[in-house]
Order: sequence, then structure tokens, then C-alpha cells
Amino acid sequence: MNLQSLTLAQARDLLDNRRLTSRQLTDYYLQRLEKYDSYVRSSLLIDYDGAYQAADLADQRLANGEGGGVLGIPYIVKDNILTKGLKTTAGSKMLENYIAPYDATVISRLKQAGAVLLAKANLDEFALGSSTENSAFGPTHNPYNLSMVPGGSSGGSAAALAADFCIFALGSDTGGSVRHPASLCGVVGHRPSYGAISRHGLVAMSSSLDAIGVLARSAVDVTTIMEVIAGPDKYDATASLVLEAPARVNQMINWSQIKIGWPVEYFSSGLDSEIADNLTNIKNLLLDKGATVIPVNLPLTPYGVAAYAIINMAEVSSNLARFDGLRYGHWAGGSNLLETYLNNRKDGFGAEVKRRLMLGTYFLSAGEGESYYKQAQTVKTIISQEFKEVFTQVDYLLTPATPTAAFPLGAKVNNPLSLYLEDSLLTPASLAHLPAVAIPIGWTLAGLPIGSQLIGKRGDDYNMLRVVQAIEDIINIPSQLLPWE
Amino acid sequence: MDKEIIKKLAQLAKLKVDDSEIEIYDYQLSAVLHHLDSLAGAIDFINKSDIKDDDVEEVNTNEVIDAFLANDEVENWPEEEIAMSLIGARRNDEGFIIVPAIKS
Repeated sequence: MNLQSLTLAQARDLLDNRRLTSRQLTDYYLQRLEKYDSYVRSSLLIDYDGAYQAADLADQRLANGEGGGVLGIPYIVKDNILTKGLKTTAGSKMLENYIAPYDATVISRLKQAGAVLLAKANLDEFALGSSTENSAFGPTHNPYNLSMVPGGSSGGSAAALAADFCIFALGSDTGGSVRHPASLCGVVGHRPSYGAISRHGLVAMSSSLDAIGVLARSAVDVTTIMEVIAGPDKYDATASLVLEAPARVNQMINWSQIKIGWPVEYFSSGLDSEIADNLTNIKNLLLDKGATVIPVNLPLTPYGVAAYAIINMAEVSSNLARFDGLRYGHWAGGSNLLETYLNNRKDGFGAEVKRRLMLGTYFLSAGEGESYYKQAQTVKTIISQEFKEVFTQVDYLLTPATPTAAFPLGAKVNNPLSLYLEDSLLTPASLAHLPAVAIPIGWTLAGLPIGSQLIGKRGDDYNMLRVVQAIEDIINIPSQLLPWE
Repeated sequence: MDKEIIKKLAQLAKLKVDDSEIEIYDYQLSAVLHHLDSLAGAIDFINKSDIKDDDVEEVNTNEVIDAFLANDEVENWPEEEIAMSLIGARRNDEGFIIVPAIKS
């Protein structure tokens, strides 16, 4: 049986109809990880024993007549999400040997639903980055061209999915960290509405913006996973948003009732022409189907990445103050408490973390620095207002996801500003707490994935995912061979 | 940004930074700050438009708090998780974590 690039829906059908067991499926992915992950380097830890145990439990439940959802479905999780009894490193030397004492809420919900955790995925240290080169354990490679980055910071999750090492993956998205690698690796990546998914057990980075998101091969698959993990959680006071019930998967889209905005600020001169051309083709396909596509304006879009950077760094400097090596984490020691802090943090943190800690400290200091923070909060608020206004005219916004396709490993690693600008088209939706999905829409001439982004109204995730699936069905992009297989 | 500010920020952030690193951070952080100065353009745009500061303040406080936060529920931490957590500390004794003295 050919199991290559199975969607969750296809795997579900095979499992529920007893044509495949969860153990066989799990074995297929573990063997691929074993054989090929030395090329891609998507994962930091593979939990063979735990995966087979979970698969056998799922097979028992399937034999007892259970089915549906994620029962028996293998997945990979970004290594900043806590998994009880397994290492959770956040891609940092600081947490190199940290073993989580409890499961994140998303993990416990997936466990209860019978999903099979295979591995912990690589990431930029503490999710700070857009290329997965900031990991203390080495970079992940783009499966479609091993000399290119997979995007970040959830680069391990996206690369694992694109490399066919799992059926879905979890990541986290603060300023685009699910959508960016999804776009560069040619998979679907969903940042949910802020508050739709509990962050309990996610290593906190920028708490006013952090969200856990799903990467999968289709929007239908994302919907299935969201039904398991979304919803209020008593352990996260911000997880209070109840999404509208998902529409039936096979419900047809009436395109004549869909209004899509085409925000002109997202198509600036910095956008790669191949990406712009692909987006224009999608627009024309949607118009042919009867959708309304109209130009709209979001004037503060060019300032989104600056506002995001300031808020992010300020919150990073607060959140990462807890990592001092005393209760857990990297220990270098010292003759007194202050020296111990300094030595533990000097050894434990990488360069990008230190840059953001210092700038964040600056923005939270009285005087010149604090004026940046006030400006950023003002711009964040006005960006939210701009989106609200635009959503009185249209239902969704169609934009490019990244200014370029994947770039070479090492090309931007010493230029932090150029990496921040990678998220320039993704940060505005984050600042406004809106749901957004990266959708694969084609390939460059060099054979690299091209992604677009659909942004929706807060709380409208499921309807948005239905439209994303309809767009995927229209485009029906051909698959590409993985060069190392 | 200059080298003295970098040293001060590193001290506040509990980071030990060598002299050789300060030069690199000075260059990199100054480049980032230069880009972030572009936010002034956004503020100019906002000031020239019809948006009032009062509107901004209202959205920043009341709406966010009302819309996003559920009530906290306080629970006891399970003994098993406490025991697992203590294992992560360099030194612990009878449920307490032992840390270095404030002064050597």
C-alpha cells in the first residue's frame, strides 16, 4: 500500500475501514525519520517507545469500534510545547536537559483523542527567528532543496510534514512562525484566532501574541485537528474564545457570496515577481468562479513588523527572565547568586536571544527606549482598527505569505534585521489577533514552494478554513519529488 | 545606542557580554533600532488622520481585558509534578531548591 503524503482524511479512512493499523502507519513514519532525517534534521528527539505504545492503544480502541478524529494518527510537535516525561528544549542550550513535568493542554487533548506523538521538532531558539538556523542544535533543511532554509521558527514541524515524516504537526505562531515555514515548505499552516487554543504548556515567548497552530496537508485536516485541541482551558485565562461550530466538510462554497479583499500594501516592490504572478493567477481563478475580489487599503501594513518587533522584544525580555538555571535549565555556576545568573545565561542563551533581551530591556526602560514601546502599542491598535474597517467591506483578505521563496542557509544569519523583515506580511494579522492560513499555491522555477495567506475575522476560523479548502481544490497544485529520496 | 548603553542593558538583562561582543551588538542593535525609527512615520500618519488618542486608549485597555480573559481557577499542584520539577534543580533538599548565596 502506498502511504506517501497521506492526508489525515485519507489515513482516517484507511484506519476506520481496517485496511491499515495505527502501528503500521506509525512504523512507516518512524522508518522514514530513521532513514531520512539525517538529511532534513527536522527533529530533536524521536520517541520510538512512546509512539508504538500510543499506536497499540489506538489500535485497541479502533478494534473496539471507536474511530474518527485523530485516533491513531501520527504527529510531530514543536519542541517548545511541553510533553510530560520527554525533553522539551525550546531549541536552546538553556533547556537542553529539561524534562517537562506535565503535558501542555494541546498534548493532553491529543493524547486523550488517541493521536500518536512521534517526535519533537526543531525550532529557532525559544521560537525567535524565521529560518530555524537559530536552534542551538543546528539548522533544519528545506526538504525540497537541502541547501535552503525551511523558514521558521516552526521550521522543524513544517519540514517534517513536507518530508512525509508525519500526518500533521503542531507549531507556534507569534509573528508568523507557523505560516512562514508552512509557506516555504509547501504545506498548510494555520494561525488561529488569539484565544482559540490554550497556550498552557507552551514555553512563553511573547504572551500577548503567542498562539499554537496546526500544520497539515489540507485545510480539512486542520479543521479535524482544531476540533480536538481548540476551546477554553482553565489553565489559560486567555483561552476563552469559543469558535463557531465547523461547517460540514463537503459543504459547497457559493463563490458568488464570497468577497475577498486584495490589500494593495501587501504587493509592494519588495515582493518576488514569481510570487506576485502566482497570486494574480489565484485571483483570476477566484474571479472565474464568481467570487468578488476587490482592492482594499491597510495603510499601516508597512509598519507592522516594526511594531511587532518592539512588542515582541519587550515581552521576550520579561518572559525569558525566568531562565536563570536555578530551578531547572543550564547550569554553569558561580561564586554567588549574581555571578551564577550571569554565567548560566551567558552559556545558555544564543546570540539572537541575547539581542532581543537587550533590546527588549531597552524598550521597557524609562526614557528614550520607552517611547518606542508606546509608539508600537499605538500602531498595533490602529492596525487592528484598520482590519476591522476592511472587514466591513470583505469577508477575507488574500495576500502573499512571504516576500520571497526559501533562501539559502546562512544567507541572512548575521543580519538580524533582514530576518525580521521575512515576517513583514505575517505580523499584521498577529498584531490584530486574527486567524490566518498559509496556503501552498505553486512552485518557483527553481522548484521551491510558493505560499499565499488568507486572513479572516477573529473567531471565524472554521469558515475561513472551508474557503481555504475550496481554494486548494481549485488550484490542485502538482506535487514535487523530494530530491534526497 | 552606544557601547556604554549596551553594557548597561546587558547588566539589566543579567547577561555577561565580553568586550569583543559589545562591538558586534552595538552594530547589530543600532541597525535594528534605525529600522524601528520608521515607526515615527506611522505616528505621523495617525496624527494626520481622524483617529484620536482617546479611541486608541480605549481599545488598548477595556476591550482587551473584557474580551480575552477568563477567570483564574487556582488548584493545588500535583505531588508527582512537584517531585518531577525538583529533579530539574541543581541542588534540592526536602522539597526546597538550594541556590548560591547572594554574596560569596
